[in-house]
Order: sequence, then C-alpha cells, then structure tokens
Amino acid sequence: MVDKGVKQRIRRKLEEAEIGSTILEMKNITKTFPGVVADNHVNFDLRKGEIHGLLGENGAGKTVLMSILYGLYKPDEGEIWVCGEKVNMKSPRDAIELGITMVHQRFALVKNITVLENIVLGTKTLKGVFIDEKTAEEKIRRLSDKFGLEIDPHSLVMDLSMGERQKVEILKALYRDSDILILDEPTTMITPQEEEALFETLQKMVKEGLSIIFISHKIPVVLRVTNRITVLRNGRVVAQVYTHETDEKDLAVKMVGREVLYRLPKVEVLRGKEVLRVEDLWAPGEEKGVFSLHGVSFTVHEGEIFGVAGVAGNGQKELVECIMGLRKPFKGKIYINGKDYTNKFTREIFDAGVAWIPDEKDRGVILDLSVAENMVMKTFYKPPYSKGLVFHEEECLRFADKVVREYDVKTAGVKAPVKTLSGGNIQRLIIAREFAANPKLLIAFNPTKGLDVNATEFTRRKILELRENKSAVLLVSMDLDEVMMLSDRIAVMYQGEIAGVVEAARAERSELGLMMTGAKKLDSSLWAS
Amino acid sequence: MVPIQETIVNVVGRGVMLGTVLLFAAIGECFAQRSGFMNLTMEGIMTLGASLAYQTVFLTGNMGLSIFVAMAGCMLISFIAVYLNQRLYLDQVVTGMALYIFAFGLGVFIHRLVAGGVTGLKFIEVLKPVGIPLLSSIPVIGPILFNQNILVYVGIAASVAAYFIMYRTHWGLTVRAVGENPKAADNAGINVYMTRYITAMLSGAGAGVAGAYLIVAVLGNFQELIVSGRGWITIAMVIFAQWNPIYALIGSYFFGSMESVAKYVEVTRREIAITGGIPYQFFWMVPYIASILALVVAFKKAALPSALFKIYKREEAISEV
Repeated sequence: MVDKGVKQRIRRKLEEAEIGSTILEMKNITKTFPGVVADNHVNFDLRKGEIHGLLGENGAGKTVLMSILYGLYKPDEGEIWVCGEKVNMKSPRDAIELGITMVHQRFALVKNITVLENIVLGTKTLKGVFIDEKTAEEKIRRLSDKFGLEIDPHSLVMDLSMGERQKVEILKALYRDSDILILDEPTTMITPQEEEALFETLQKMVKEGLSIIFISHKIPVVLRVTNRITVLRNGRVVAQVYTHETDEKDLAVKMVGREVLYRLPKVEVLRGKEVLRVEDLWAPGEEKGVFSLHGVSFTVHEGEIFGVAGVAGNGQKELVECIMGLRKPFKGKIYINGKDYTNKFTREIFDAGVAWIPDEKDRGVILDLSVAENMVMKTFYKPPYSKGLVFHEEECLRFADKVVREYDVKTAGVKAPVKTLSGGNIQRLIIAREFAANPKLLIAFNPTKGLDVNATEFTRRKILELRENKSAVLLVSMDLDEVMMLSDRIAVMYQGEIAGVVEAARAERSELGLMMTGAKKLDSSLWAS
Repeated sequence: MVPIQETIVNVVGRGVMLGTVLLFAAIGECFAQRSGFMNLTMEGIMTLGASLAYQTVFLTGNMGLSIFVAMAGCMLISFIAVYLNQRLYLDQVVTGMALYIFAFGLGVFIHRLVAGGVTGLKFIEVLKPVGIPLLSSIPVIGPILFNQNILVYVGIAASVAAYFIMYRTHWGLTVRAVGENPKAADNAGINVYMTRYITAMLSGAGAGVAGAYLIVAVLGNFQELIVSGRGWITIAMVIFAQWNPIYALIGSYFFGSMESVAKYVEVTRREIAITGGIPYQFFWMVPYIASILALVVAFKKAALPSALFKIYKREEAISEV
C-alpha cells in the first residue's frame, strides 16, 4: 500500500495523538458477498484510549467490517482513514505495520510450535540470520508482567487452554507494539474467571494509551467493558451511543429490532423414568494413550433437560459422538430406555427414538441436496418413502411440504438445495426433521451456535416444548448462559471428567466457572443417583 | 583391509553416492511439504532435469552449466504447478499428476530432439571422487563419507544448512507456520502465497540438481527411465523423515544403500551363494518395499502439516467463523 515513510509517519501520529482524539475512521464501508450485503455504508470511528464496543447479532457484519480494517477483506466501497491520512489495507501486514492487530474469535495460532515462536512469527527479532530467542523471551516476559498475562513462552500452543491461547494472541499484539487492538467475540471461548482477568488486562492496556475495538453480541459484557458502543443490524449502523447513556433493554431493541425475552417461560415438569444412562464411559483422544473421556457417568430422565457445560475441547464432542454411535468408546456402557446401545450403528440409535442436533450445521444436513431430501434423510429407506428398491419422491415431497409449513422454514421450495437457506432456516429444517418423530431423547450439541436471536429463541422454545412433552434432553453447550437458562440439572465437564452436577435452580455462575477451569470439583457421591 | 569390511565400505560408499540423488530432491521437498504444497511433479521434473543436463553436456561439455540448466527447467515446471494451485486454486494432486506426465514427456522429447534419441549414443565422463585429506583416512567412515565426488559434499552441506534454516531462522518458522495454519500466518502479516511459491521453486531447484546429478555423477548417459521411481521415493521419504532435512539425509543414504546392495548382488552375480537361490532382480525391489514399509511406519505417527494439500483462500477462511 503506502510506502514505509508514510507508515512510519502515521505510526508516530498514532503514538502522539491525545487521549480522546479520533484516530481511526471508516467511512461508508460497503461489502457484499454473493446474495448478501454484509456491510451497507457503515461509518465507524475510534478514539484514542477508549474501548469501543461493536455490538450486533451473528451475521450483522461486525467481523466482516473489522476484517476489512485488518486487510483480510477488500471493501467494495468506502475508505479507511488513520490519523487523518487515507490508507489502503492490502493485507494484514499493512494493518500490523500501522499498529493495528486483530484477535479472531477462533484464535489464529499455529498449534505445534511454541508460544514464543507464535509471537515472533512474522516479526524480525534477529541475531545475525537466526531468531533471537533471548531478546524475544525478555520482551514477552516484560509484557506478561506488565499486563497480567502470565504464560510460559516455551510451552506448545496445543497444550494451552483457550484462555491461555487468548493471552498469547494479546501478547502477539503487544509484542508488535500495536496501538489499536481488535478483539472478535473474546468472551465466547473462556470461563467467567478468565473473563474477569481479560477485562483487567484491557483496562491496563487502555491506561497505556492503546485503543480497543471490542466485538460482541453479548449486551451485558459490552455494557461492562466499553466506553462507547456502535450497534450494527443487518449490515447497517443503527446506533452509536455512550455506554453510560444506555441500558440493556435499549441495546436489545436496537440490536434485534424488537424486545427480546431473555428468560423463556419454563413450566414445572415432573421428572419421569430414566431414558439415557451413561456408565463409566472412556473414549480415546486424538493422540495415542490420551483419553478424552475419563469415566463419565450420568443419567437423563423424562421431562428433564440435563445440561453439560464446559469450555470447548474438554470431551463434550467425544461424549456426544459416543452416544450417537459416531465414535467407539474405549470402555463403558450407554443405555437408552434400559437397553444397551453401546457401539451400535447410528441408525439403530435413531430407531430407538433419539433425535440429534449436531453442532456443525453441515453435519446435520447435506448442503447440495434439496430441502425435501434432507427432510427424509433419516427415514428415506423406510415406507412410505421407499418400498423395496423404489424411492417414492412424491411421498417425500408431501412430508417435506407439511413440515416446512409447520415449522415455518423459509425456502424457495422443498426442491431448493439446502445451501440456499440461511443458517437460521437450516436449523429450523434440522429441528423439523428431528422433532417430527416425537423423539424420546434429544441430544443437542451447541444447538444455537452461530444463530441469530430469532433462530436462537425458536430453538430454545422447541427444546423446552420437548421437555414439556415428557421427552429427555441432553443439552451439551459451550454457552454457559444457555445451559443455565434451559437445564434442570447442570453437569460441568473438565478434561474429560464430570467435575460436578448441580441442580440448575441452585447453580451459581461463579461456581460453575470454577468447575470449568478445574479449580473446583464436587464429590461425586453428592450427585450420583 | 578385511574383504568383508571392504565390501561393506564399497556398498555403503556407493549408497551414499546414489543416495545423494534423493537428498537433493528431498531438501527442497521438505520445505515445500512443510509449507503445505506437495510437489508431486518430482518424478517428472527429475527426468526433465536429467535430460536437460545431458543435452547441455552433450552440446557444450560444461557440467556446471548443465546443473543450472536442469535447475531452471525444473523450477519452471514447479512454478506452473504452484501457480495453478495457489493462484487458480486447482487441486494439487490433479495438477501435480498432469505436470508429472508433461515434464516426463518433455524430458524424453528434448532428448530425442537434441541428442538424436539414440540411447547410449555418447557417455559423458562422470565426476571422480575427491578425497578430503585426513578425514578420508579415518577407517570405514573415511572412505564412505569423505572419498566422494564434490556434489556429495555439497549435498551434506546443503542439508545441514537447510536444517538451520528450517528450525532457527524466521523464514523457516514462516514455512512451518504456513503449512500448519495459513490463516494464522496470514494474520501475522505473512504472505502465504509467496512463501509457497518460494518453497515450490526450491523443490524444483532441488529436483533439477538431483536430475543433473544422475547424469554427471552417476550414469553419464540419459535413458527414458533414468529416474526409475526415485522421485516418488523422495516424496515418501520426506514424510518418513518428518520434513527434517537431517533425517532426510539419513533416509537418502539408507535408500541409496538399498539400491547399492541390489546393484552389488547383481554385479557380483553371487545370487545363489549369498541369497540362497533368490534371483538378484528381487533385490531391486528392496528400495521400493522399504519405502512402502517406511511410509506405513511413518504415517502412523506422522503429524502431517495440517494445511498440506489444502488451498488457502483468504475471504473463505474467515467467513466460516
């Protein structure tokens, strides 16, 4: 883009700018993807020393806007000005050289190299032709101490927890002497305690004159940490307010366009007989000799939502896959309605009355097949859809037509390929298919991941309805608030074990948070039933 | 010297000489695969390199020049391969296969065009061993490692240098990061595509030297099947070597020695006495069987670079979040 001299001049201006003066402006930014306008003439500005919240739902255009600033996307239209000079970001290198760094929601770290190597990656800390590890380590330790980001520079990134990885990402930015830090949904992968530590670090950074852009869809979090808030809805800026002049309700209306019910009505349902029983389940991990599940046992009953909380990567995926017959347990038993379903084919497990909402949406549907075909994905080989070797398409279309209307799936028609549907509608399709057969047991794995508020509410309502109809639900979710809102009992998973089970009515967020990091473990005799 | 020791020294020494073919190709391929690009044209471009080297010596008599001509030709094909993959987003395997066939054919075609297509037309004199004073008089090790042609020494030096580049320099770190997580590398301000262009060209250059080496140091003559699977063995061996240039050196000498053993059995025609009735041709299978076994063992624990074969597209890479 601009030559080195101009970059250095801008850097100097950034450093010398007074606290509170505008250092960054994005004017009239428009970015379209095939069929979607991600950002529609967005204006955004950042002042020195502030934490500016960028609030919006999934798909509102927050990440895209910041990816444009970071040089990852090219805008169709619009300009970026830093300290009164127009700049053209061709790649992250340009942004970094101007003192801008972005920390992605899914961290961008190389897992099989050390923390130190990740931090010096792309910089020039040299001693002759070799990497100067000593100088790098000193600088990292200095920054860690200053901002409260303790981390061993020589550990491998793959051995770190999500919270620690986030620290590495922030250290990366500090190591590059960044003036502007973009944090994309920094609170989704970490525990409540790690959240507190992060907020403290951010305050220290702001005091040092850094400016932070804080992307989030969580209103309470944004209210807590920011000075100013820009609200995006469907790619447009709908409001820009000072944090002290607004409140939760006001922001919700701005973000979603209507009032949002944060508490769904939950009726009393009597707990019935046991439906799912998992006994001493062990499962192998990705590496040889390492177990991802260490003797997990629990039961789920009729009319009950059993929530499993925990930081991603603590064995939740393996647990769900073992139950669904997608992964072979090392030992242990899984009973559904009293019958042994360990190591059975997934189809047999479906036939036992199990429904499942997978966490990756493309695991629940085949994107290139039509809505109708996806609707009968679990039953197409049975009558009335198939008789002998013949597949009766009209039956399938009739069924699809019916459920599409019933569940209000917005599609151009039942013959349209699923990939033409929005994320929320794909979710409706999955729920329609899974719930159509009145399941006895639902396995829901991150059911609202990546959904907007409407689709999230719909999904949660449906799960609660299922509970009212006396079905059992196993809800495995990384979203602690979701688990706390829906569940009757909550288990916390930590490193392949259940750290404790508590009654939802008596659950404390902070206590669950401690269990999520392994800092607290309940005696299993307290909950074993 | 005792006869058996002399035999071992001869066989292994020749193994080192033959293994150097693989070594040159492997060093570049280590970097290419580590950066996420598998240069599958290897077998073809080595043939092309050998052909170009032979024609150059045939026409000019200049061995040094022949190496550079071979390098240039192989780098060009590698450039096309990486361009199709990184710029036009075509699949590495498909384009690699197509260009392997193309380069192979081109090498043979050029040979027919220039040297008249008569195999065995003219043998060129291959490089002579140059003993390193003192070192070459160490028993056993001396004659094996330090009484070789000059390019063997170049190969050893290159693999040591490659090792330090891979693990101690910024560029080596860049290569490893790009092959493991291109998105992270991109976010750290690294040009993912440029890194892969460079590593692919490097593997082309290595293959060029390897092809030329076959002519100027091993055979002195060009034949259609001159490479005879060494390109494929290189690709497999690099995985076996865990993309570490020093392991690649050991692996190359191992495979070279396998080849040398087969040759030894063939030349001395002692198949009945030594092998208990097994025809010597069976020994020619040894390097190939060894490479299959090596792959089976290596693949079990090999942590392939996560982004190997994967096409990195920036706007797609994050829109999935």
